[in-house]
Amino acid sequence: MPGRLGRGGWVTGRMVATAAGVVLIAGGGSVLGVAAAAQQHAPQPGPDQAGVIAAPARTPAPRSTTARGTTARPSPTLARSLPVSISIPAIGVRSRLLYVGLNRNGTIQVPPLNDPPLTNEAAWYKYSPTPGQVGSSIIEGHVDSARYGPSVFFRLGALKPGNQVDVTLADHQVAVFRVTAVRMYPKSHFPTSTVYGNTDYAALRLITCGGSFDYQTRSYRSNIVAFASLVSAHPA
Amino acid sequence: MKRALMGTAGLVLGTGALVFSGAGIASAQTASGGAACQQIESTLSSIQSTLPQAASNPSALSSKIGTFASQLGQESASASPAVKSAVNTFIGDLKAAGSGHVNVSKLTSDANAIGAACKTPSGAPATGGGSTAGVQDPVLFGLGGAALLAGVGVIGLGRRNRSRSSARS
Repeated sequence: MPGRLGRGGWVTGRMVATAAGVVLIAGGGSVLGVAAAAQQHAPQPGPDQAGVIAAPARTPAPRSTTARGTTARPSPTLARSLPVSISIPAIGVRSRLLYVGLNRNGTIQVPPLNDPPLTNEAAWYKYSPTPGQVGSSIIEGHVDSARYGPSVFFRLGALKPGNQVDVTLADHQVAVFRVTAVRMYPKSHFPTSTVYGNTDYAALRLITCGGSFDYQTRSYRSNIVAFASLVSAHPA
Repeated sequence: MKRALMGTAGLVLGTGALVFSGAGIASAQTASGGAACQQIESTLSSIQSTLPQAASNPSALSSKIGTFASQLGQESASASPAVKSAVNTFIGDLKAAGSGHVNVSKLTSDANAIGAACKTPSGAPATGGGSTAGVQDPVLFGLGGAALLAGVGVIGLGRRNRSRSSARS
């Protein structure tokens, strides 16, 4: 081992360099892990969520009867009453409702993208039927904002047929809807008549953005639509 | 007899115009469903204010109805198919009114249909800003990746130097 002790400085330097390398690898790996864990991507609906859009002409009576003893009765409807808030327990949504109209190009207005209290609230299209009336009542919400991360309908694509949507109305009734289908449509082929068209039952459409993002137009390329129909109502 | 008929037609047409304007177009005003709908709404308001006055003069009435029909046709050209269809129906019934066959309830229903079509959204809403699209936190990924590569480089360099030194000794 001649000269090894004499080369003590070199050995120490080598050990420091190795230790620094290990620290850098561990630190870098940790930072990458944190970055990967921080990634948030909105769930996209799959084929198993496609369900059926139209509600059956007659729906089973909810809750009041047992599963075996369900009895058929006409689809329920409610009198006109402005919606106040929406709750979707399955995806943790609870929001008061803004009212929006139409843009000059005929599309539905949306809540402001960079005004956090409002960005994170859902909005009811004020020229559609109120939730519970016969027809398609439209409620939309942002999937995310431009700067503030996930928004109110971030997890809309995770809804499944059978999930419940509660809309509280101004007359202190809660309209209870059941999701029948969740689908994604390209914006270029958005089926306006299917989504906005009239129905012969009390329908609810929940809309947000989905799919890939077009960085040039600063817009998502698709929309996720959850179709639901009224099953019952109860006092708030 | 002819004067009486024209007077009746004018009264009915005037009433009809008021009825359809009040029922259908009032709601379209608040809806502001696109530029085409706003123009259509404006023309329908003109119809309401002009036609009752022209009703006493058959040739003027016919001419004005023709003008309005043409105007509505042009305005609806850029509108959605649903609006176009509703306006075409209205134009047909308006022309019938010009020849004396006034169907007030039909005109009212036509105007309501235009109002409803104007309130139907024509496309998908822009409900996202993109902050969760693609790779988020690129700076963090960059820093982590750089540190990882630097660490691998430092260790690799140390090993290379060590093997060179062993070879020399």
